[in-house]
Amino acid sequence: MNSWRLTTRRFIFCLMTSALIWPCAFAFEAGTGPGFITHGDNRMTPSVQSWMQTSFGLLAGITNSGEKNSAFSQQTALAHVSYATSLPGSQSLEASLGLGEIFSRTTLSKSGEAGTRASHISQAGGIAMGLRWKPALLGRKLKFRLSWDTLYVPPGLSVLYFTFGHAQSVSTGLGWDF
Amino acid sequence: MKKEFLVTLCTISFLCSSRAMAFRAGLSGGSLGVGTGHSNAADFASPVAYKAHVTFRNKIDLSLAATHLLVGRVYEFNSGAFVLPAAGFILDGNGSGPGVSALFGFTFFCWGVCFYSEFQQQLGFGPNRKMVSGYSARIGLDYTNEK
Repeated sequence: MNSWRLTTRRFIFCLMTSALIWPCAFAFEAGTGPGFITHGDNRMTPSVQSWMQTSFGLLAGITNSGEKNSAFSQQTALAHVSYATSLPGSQSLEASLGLGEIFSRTTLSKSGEAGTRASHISQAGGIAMGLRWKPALLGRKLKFRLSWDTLYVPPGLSVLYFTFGHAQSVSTGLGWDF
Repeated sequence: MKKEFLVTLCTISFLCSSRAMAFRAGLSGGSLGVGTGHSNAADFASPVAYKAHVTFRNKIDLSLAATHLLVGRVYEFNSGAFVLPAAGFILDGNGSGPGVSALFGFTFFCWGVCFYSEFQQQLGFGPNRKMVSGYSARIGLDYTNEK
């Protein structure tokens, strides 16, 4: 059996590769902030969004939200991985396009015949699109961001329980450029 | 309503009287979501699902559909993709009011006219402190008189 060993040549190769990749791959912006999610039926719930964006435009974000009313309680997460780029001719506007997933866990308040509360876990995938406003207000490292993301689940694929196929997320946030 | 009509008329007059006489105009139809639940299938037989728009040389876009009346600015990428942030008047199944819109589109197959596909999301303030929102996924044809 061949075992992989770290030789001097391999070490130098890894070091050189890392040095080449480092400036672009490991320069990133990360942040978090409050906002709200709108569901397909116009319900609006408070949310918290966290994101990370590399310098070459790869953007990953997740928005968490919760709701409790007399009929049910629900936790929702809206996640996406997208490619983000500045709009031509604009210094502060940015758009993104990618794939997203919505997860929700709903527990009905009314107990069933057996005395248990019905709980539903559902998820659906779709196309994630976003528009962001990132003005240069707070200096070079600290970034203010206003984002407006949407997840479009094509008709027929929406199997979510009390969440529906179309969700929008509007968030403000502060990020740090690492 | 009279005031909104006058504002719209003034906006159109301003756009037409400026250097923006060259234009691109199109009609698109498809699938609508009007804040009442699930995504709907595309319905090209329904006039409600259609949208008309005109984009002037200065990239200002004016669009009209059963769900909105919006004015925005088009940002075009070299790849044919475009993004259109806009503001105006929005209508959904729960009411109507002022709001904003973000449109993501892609232009392809240009032979005199161009095909384009687009996804548009909307968010606004409705009656009784409620929100209005919605989306549309459309496919359409654009004509341009620019050389």
